[in-house]
Amino acid sequence: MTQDKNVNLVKIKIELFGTARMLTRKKNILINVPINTTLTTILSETLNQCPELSENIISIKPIKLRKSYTMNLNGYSYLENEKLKIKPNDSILLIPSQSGG
Amino acid sequence: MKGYHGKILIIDLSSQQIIQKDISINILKNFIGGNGLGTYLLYKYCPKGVDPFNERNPIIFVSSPLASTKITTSSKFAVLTKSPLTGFIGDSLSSSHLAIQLKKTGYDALIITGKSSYPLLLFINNNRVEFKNAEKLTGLSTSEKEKSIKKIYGNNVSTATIGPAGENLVRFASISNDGGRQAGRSGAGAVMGSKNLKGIAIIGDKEVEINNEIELEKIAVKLRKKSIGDSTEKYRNLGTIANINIFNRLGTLPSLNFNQSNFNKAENISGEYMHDNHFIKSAHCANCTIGCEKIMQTNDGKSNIKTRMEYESAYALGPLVGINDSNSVIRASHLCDEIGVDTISAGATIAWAIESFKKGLISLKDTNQVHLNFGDSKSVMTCLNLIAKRKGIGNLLAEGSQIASKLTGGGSEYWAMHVKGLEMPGYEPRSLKTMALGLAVSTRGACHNRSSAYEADFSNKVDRLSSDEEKGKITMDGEDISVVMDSMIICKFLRKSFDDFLYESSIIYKHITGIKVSKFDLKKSGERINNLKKMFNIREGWTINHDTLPKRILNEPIKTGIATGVELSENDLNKMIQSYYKSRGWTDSGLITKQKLRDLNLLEIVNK
Repeated sequence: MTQDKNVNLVKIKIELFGTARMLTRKKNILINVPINTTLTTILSETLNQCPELSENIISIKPIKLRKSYTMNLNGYSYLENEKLKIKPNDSILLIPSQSGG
Repeated sequence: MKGYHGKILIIDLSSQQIIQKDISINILKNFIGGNGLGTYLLYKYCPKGVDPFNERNPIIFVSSPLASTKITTSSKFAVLTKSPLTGFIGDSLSSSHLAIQLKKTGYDALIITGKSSYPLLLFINNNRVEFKNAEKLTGLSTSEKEKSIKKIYGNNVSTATIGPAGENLVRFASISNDGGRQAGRSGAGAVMGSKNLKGIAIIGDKEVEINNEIELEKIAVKLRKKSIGDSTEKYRNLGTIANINIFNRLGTLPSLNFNQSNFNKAENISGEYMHDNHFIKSAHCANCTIGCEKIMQTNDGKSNIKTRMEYESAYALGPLVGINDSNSVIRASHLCDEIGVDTISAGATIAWAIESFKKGLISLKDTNQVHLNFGDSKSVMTCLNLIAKRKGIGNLLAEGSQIASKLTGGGSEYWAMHVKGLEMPGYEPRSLKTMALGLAVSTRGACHNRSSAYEADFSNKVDRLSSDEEKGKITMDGEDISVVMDSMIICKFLRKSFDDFLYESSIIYKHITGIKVSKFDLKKSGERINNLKKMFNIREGWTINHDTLPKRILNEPIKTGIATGVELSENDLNKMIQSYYKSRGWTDSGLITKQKLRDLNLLEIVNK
């Protein structure tokens, strides 16, 4: 990731569930992103470490989450707006958008 | 008449008489089919105040306008009866070839009443009904019965069978069809057992006329395509068992009889783990393009067991009873299907028994010297086998957690995790407050499917930890849309494949039946059906005190997981319940006014 040196980066965790975990064989990864960031940046950083998610979970052109998945911040709110503010040690859960069962 | 047959068949097992009756297009339009039509028929044919095991309690198999069409996931049917578990309305859905054969009998519903004087197998071939002695089927498991019946009538018949649990009137006994699919909740299998009815074989060749085959096919093609897209990804790949790890992380996975809201070893029974270690193949119901069923096989070197694994069974026979061994969960789930019991009620009742044993209310003598412990698969398997036979402690547990706790006393009602007698599914209500309301007010008891209220909680639509009053309308809308799905009938796993479910359903309905309805008409039908369900319960003794949650939920904060400390007080629940009654236009006591009944065209029905 190319970053302006003046931008503070924070480390956050991306937790992978369901097919995302099966494809990557990873339960979670750590990424560095600016405090004032975007969903696109988070997905882009996630793809850098988990290229297996490409197209299956994350569309490439443009970079966005497929409708089959959703992003949840720390187990509570669902990320819908492109721009967001995060804190160090935040966790973003990559989970299926279908909640039933 | 198109899309329907316009006829029902009443089969009296006592007299072995059958009566065919017409059913008006107005009733069909107002109640759609499936769960809705079944609700109308149950209200009409179930005598007020009858004991669920009395021969006059009917068991009703209901088809739907969509069954046997090319609309994906529509091969479903409904089973309704007065529930022996709750004493209120009991309704279950199941799927696959039986739904198609039921539709092809030439009837929109089969009403079975009376009681056979000998073990009975019913063979229904179009309008011909055969009453066959089923002495040889007695005691067989659900799958053994199905195989035996197919040996007699051939593989083209579809069957509905009960296992030993149904025969022994276990109040949460299920009805099995098509190789282990279950009409599971509410205890319809026990009602079948009370009628001495071991199984039903059905075959038919009566087709209904479809109003507009060409336009229906266009929609069917579009839905089939969507059904294998993003909107069903979870169901198609890992299946609903993918919920285990997610719910655990979100603090919404009940464990150890709701003493915890997550489970330390959830990973060991998760969808991801099961897929890596037990998965054989996906399977699907007839005419379904999703294929949510994940067939899992044991791998511990003991007897080789294969069964479908889905979230609710994994929750109830895993975390809820403290089991973290995947092979044990698969075995217990398979055993439930074979003896013919609902996995949720079975797991929750056993969890109650384990806690009661630990607190000294159940003795070693009661359990045939088996120690009941959380996390001990032997405890679970022993209880299941005893329940099926109603032997030892099984005789008590066969009553379900509500009655078992009343009989046992000693304060054990506090940890009997049910609503109206139906045991709790795997959604922690303290951290899913819309779901909490849905569970409390549901007419069939603790049911997650009849409101799908969890959907709002797993979104930004609401704050899932807050008991605010906006949840009343959300729950009501969820119930009304859900019951339309359950009446059309279409699988809920297809719901996100629609852009506007009610509108698109109204178009499908018109192409099948020729009856023009708007999306608002369908919504109104949903409201009508849910109000009639409530009227059935009121007639059978419902009071406002029945709309509640287990005492543990209302008196203890969550102790583990990310929602630790979150509470749901009785006061907060009651506020949400009042908001629900207000949204429904009911009185503060949850009763339905005459005006509301009149608005919904129900007054004449309930006054008869």
